[in-house]
Amino acid sequence: MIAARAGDRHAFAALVEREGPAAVRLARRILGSAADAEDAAQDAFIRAWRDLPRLRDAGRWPAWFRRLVVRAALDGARRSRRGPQIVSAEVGDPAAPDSTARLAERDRVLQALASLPVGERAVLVLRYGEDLEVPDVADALSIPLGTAKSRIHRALRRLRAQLGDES
Amino acid sequence: MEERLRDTFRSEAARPLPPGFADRVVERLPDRAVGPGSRLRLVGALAAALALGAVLGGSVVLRLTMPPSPGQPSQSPLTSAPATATVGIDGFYGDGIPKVIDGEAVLRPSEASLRVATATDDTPFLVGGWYRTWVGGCLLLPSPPPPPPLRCAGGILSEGAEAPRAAPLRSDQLRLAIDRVAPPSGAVVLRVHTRDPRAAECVPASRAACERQVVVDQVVWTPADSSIAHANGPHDLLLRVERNTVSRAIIDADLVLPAFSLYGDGMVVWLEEQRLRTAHLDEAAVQGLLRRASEAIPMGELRLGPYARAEPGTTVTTFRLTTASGGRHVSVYAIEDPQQAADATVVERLRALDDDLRRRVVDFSSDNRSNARSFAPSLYRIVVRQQPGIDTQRPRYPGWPWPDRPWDRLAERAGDTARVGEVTAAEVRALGPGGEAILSRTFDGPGDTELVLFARPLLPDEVAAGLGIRQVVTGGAIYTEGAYSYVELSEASRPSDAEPSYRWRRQLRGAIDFGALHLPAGRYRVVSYQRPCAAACPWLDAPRDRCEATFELAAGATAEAVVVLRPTEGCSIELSGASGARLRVRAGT
Repeated sequence: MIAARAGDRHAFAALVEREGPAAVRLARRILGSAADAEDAAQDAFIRAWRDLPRLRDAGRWPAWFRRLVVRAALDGARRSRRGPQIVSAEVGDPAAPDSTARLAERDRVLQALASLPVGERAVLVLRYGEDLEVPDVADALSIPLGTAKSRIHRALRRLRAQLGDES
Repeated sequence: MEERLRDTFRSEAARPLPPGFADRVVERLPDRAVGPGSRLRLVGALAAALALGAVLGGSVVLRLTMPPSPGQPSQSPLTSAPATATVGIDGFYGDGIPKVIDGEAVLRPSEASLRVATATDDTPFLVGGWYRTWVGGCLLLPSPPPPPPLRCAGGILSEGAEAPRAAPLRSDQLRLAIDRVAPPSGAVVLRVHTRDPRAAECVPASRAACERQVVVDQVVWTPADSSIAHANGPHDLLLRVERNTVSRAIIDADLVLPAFSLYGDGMVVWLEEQRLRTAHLDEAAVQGLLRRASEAIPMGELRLGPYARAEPGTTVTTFRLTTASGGRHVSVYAIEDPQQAADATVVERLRALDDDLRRRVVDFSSDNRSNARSFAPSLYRIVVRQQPGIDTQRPRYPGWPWPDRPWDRLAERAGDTARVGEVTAAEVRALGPGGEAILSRTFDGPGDTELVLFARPLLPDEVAAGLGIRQVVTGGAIYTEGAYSYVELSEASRPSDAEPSYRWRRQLRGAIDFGALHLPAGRYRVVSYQRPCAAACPWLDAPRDRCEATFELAAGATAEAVVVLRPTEGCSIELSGASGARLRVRAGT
């Protein structure tokens, strides 16, 4: 990190290798498209490279870089007219054949998520996909805490409606 | 709702970065001042690259390209090899021959022929293909003959594994002069040269031919240098391609036959015009198939198609790849629907892979002089469904063919009314010719019903282990009104609250033999419980006297699970022939 901040491309490449999978995963969850997610993650890394000299405390990297990924994903969604085209997910423990019902259940949730506005999808991804506390969600999205709370509430309500789940 | 969301996200497996991702990022980095110690950090980048390479695949080398930093001399691309490989390989041709070795391009025989025609000196180059010894094309006249290595060709290098045809030579074949190095038969990359200086010793009439001889200098690569590790047992599934329809996947999962299966001992079974065919491949051919599959679908890729929205009858293509001793496993689900444009790319790759694998098997088996033949299964899975009798032209046989195994004593299947069991190939043959891999027959059932039977061949991985289940009663009290005994069998990975894979139910009358099944090797769970009759059967009370056991069934194992029941006091399950058994007894529940 320190070497990358000083301008070492090789060190930055190692950073990309280390942080890349999580960055692409976060962007994919927000965008719903693997190709768009890779573009967004690349944009985030370019911004990180450019702004890294201004990051004085290396300990703040995770939150700082997460903000860049989220911002890049939201920018990517705005640029893209088509929105999420495919909802894709990797099934955990692929050695174990999963039941079709469970696959269908995951698919239903992902499809419902894909139908939400990107801002609402992002709060749900950060809160329940990345397991962030609400203040950290607000920080990642650079929005006030109250806005984050109300957006999560609204997104959940809309998701329930999409799934026909009133519970 | 919050928990459903968490479950959905949690179910995603870790996925490595797409190949070349870091390269693309680094290429786009704007200039910045270079800090001290950047050379040292190269080690970190290389270590990360190696780690990623290990994730992506044992034999594929990760190429990390670094543009030069300001003030630094231009660097060559960094190429790192996995620890087990002796050479750095970047990509493979369709027949498993490396494209680039240690940064040097490997020509195909047809390309090498062109290079030979235009060569002006003896600069060596790499050529890769399938080598066979062949002596011919000798330059004997006029005498004196050329020096030995240039006199005759000693071998032929071909593109693809099919048997070489020496005369006339095809454009994708190259004759080789053997000097001191004799290449091994099969896939190989050779360093060769032409315009050998010894051509000067040839008489003028044959000098041009002498100069065109391609002389082998060195064997640079053979499959042993970068082979993909894999399990080698006859039941170990290395590669499988499956294509199903949505409706079949859900309703008739037991009846689906994989399109293509490759096993650790080189056996291949594939579906051809609704019949199963098989061939045995040598290790070089197995390696070729594994490489082809690895390249077609990058390791770690998995897509989950929108099953819920798919119309019944829509074709779903699934792809599964297991390599490196079963350590990696990839599944791809894609819907063959023109409206799903993004999935179409995946489907196209799967189709091309499926076609290519079959073509290769035919080529390989022909090359090995062991032509493909019909697959002869030893066992069949049977699925029986009782339904109202329908008056059709379809022939109906008078009665259930196996009276010693009544159809209603077969196992029930999860979420379905059908019964499932297995019979031998001889028993299926006795039903008469079937015509297709999956045989179907309709028999008279009880009352006005008919029994529709399907018999589907079991493949080697599906019969890797055997398990028998029975129950004995020792002591305890009695269930006054009688009871029904239940046994359930599931893969251990299946959630314990999910429907079991198999369920047997019998009226409790002393010892019960629930039957036996052949299963894939793996970890399983057996659950036993009793349902006493409530006043009078068939009204039943809630389950009680429940116990369960989880155990490992290794390939080749034959195990028996014996439920020892003490009515009203509980039960236990004794296992023989299985390993890693973990018993849980819940007495009296």
